[in-house]
Amino acid sequence: MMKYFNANKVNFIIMSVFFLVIGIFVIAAAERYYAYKETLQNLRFQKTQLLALQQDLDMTTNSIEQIKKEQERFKEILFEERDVPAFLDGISGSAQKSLVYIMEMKTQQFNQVPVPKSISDSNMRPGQASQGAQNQAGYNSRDEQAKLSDMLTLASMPIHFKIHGTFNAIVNFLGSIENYRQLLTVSNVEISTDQNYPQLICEFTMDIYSLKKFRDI
Amino acid sequence: MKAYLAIEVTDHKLRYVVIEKSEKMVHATRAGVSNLTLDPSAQGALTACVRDIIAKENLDIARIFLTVNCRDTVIHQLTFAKMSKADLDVLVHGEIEKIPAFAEKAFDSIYREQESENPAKSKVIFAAMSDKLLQYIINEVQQTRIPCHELEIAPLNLTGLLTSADLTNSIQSFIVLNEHATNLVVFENGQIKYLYTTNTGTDGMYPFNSVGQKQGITLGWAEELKRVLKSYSLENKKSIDKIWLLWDKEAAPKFDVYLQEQGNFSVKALDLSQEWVTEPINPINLLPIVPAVYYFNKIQPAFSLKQFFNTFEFNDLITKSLLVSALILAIVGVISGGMILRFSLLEHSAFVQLKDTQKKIAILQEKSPEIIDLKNQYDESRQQLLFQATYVKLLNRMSWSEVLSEVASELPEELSLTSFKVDDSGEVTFTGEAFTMGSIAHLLRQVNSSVILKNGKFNYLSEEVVKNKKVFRFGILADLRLDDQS
Repeated sequence: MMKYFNANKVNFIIMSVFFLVIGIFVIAAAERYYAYKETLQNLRFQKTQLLALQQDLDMTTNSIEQIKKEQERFKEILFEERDVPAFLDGISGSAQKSLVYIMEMKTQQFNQVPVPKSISDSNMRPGQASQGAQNQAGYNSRDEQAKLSDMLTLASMPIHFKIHGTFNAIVNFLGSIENYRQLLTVSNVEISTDQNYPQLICEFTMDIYSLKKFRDI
Repeated sequence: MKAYLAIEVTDHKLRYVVIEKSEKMVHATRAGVSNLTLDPSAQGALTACVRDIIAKENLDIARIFLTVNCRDTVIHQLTFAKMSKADLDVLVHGEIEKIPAFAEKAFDSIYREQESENPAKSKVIFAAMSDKLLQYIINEVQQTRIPCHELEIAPLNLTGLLTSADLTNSIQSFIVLNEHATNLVVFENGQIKYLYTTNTGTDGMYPFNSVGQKQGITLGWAEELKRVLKSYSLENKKSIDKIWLLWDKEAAPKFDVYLQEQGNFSVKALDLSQEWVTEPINPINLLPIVPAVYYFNKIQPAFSLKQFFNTFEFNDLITKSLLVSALILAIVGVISGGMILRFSLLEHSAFVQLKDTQKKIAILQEKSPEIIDLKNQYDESRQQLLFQATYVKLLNRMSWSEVLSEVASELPEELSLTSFKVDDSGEVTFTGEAFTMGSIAHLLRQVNSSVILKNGKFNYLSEEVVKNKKVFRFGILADLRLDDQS
């Protein structure tokens, strides 16, 4: 072998192979390192994305919870279905105390409280509001969609009263109604006389309010 | 103190000298001869012989110096016409192949161009040794596991040590009486001037005390050498001042005297004790210590035989290179493998986490439209409730008891109402009766100045006579002041 190669040549070959193999080792290790680094970078990006998504969802969920709590608080000043008989009993009691005779009391079904377009457009003015209340065609167009869900809406049950009593008794009676803890409204008040003056006849509509699911209305 | 072992391998003997280094000189502590028939096929024989010497002498050897002096070696001088080195290489190689002992055999050789008196001529001295013998000897010595990197073919480099004043002041010569041959070297200032080899050695001469044929051979040998020396003197017109002799003085103590007396051949035993050796030794033992002297004094010999070790050193070097490379590769491999494994595991772990994260993202992304939709529904519901509540608030912003009380207080006494109606839109309708128009006009003014009513206007007015009395029936329209109360 020595005849054909000298030590330097063979050493050169050995060193070349040596460095080649070392180079392969280093390249293999570097390749693994960069692959790991790339995966890690990707992982960090995905984790950031996940965190942002999670935060968004948490915020959304919190908002929902907040709205639910608001609704619960709102419910406290509204009527439940089960409260209605007791309320009507209470009304009868108030009438007796106020020396008012209830000639007629007709209840109707709960109906969604209409929202006049003027209010939903956020350009509500008090004068327009009362006009808009009559405009049933101007209701929020999204109602139909909302009805398909379990979402809550404010529903009112109109109760038509016809009472008989003196002017003072009627005023006292209306005053006692207004002092009720729960939300109610009195509208279409009409007072008229008959032959038994000073006894008067008063007709009015009282709406009591409750939160109802769209599907239940 | 560690000792060195200088050995000279001949055809039938192994001559050794145990030496110690004494500054630049060699101190020969012991010397001896072992019987050894040099046979390249006798594996381990030389190794065993060396080990026996070491054991017998109880030595701790630091290094072995090897001198070869046998039939399978040759030292020769030739003169050629001047030529290129490449041509000289081929020519010398061819000349060696012409020697019967080297014909059709592998051999290793060196040569050196000497100074020549004739510029058109190249005087070359070469030495050669068969590969088989070389490999055998070096392998055997290396098997002792004692370092041995100095080799000499006797007496090639002896001339280089003849540098003392009495050896350099004239042209001189030395004769080496080997077993198989005799070398005659004419030298001047440490340079070989002439080299002659005869095949007569001690094998044909000893013992000297016998008479007859052997004495004749010895004297014939002396005559031959004298003729050669005379021929050299005549040819070069230079007389040879001194003739030194290297022979086994222990075997033939009076051989120099014998030559003087019987052969009229004046020779002196070579003694290097003034310069290289601490004390006079058996002249023949100068041959094995030659490489040691060169080694201890770090002198580069004129005929370096280092290349004879090339194959072995080459193999050693390759083996060492391979071993070191393999070791480093193993270490680098383990480290790289460890790194690759570690990064692979880390990548796998990261990949698993990535997949898990992607799954979570997919789940959340799948879930998020549902939640967002729900949130939108809640927002819509909230907005709807807000609108509804706003509307109800508008409806509920007046107290009916207050309205009625206010109306009652502002009603003129001479006027009676038959009905009072307020509808959802806040339109108020008064109907009533009065005896005077003034009362109705008063009511109208009261309405317009009221804190709860405004825009009072007549709806209708009719006059009737009831029980001979004029009665005015009227209708007044007005609006509730919702603006001001909100």
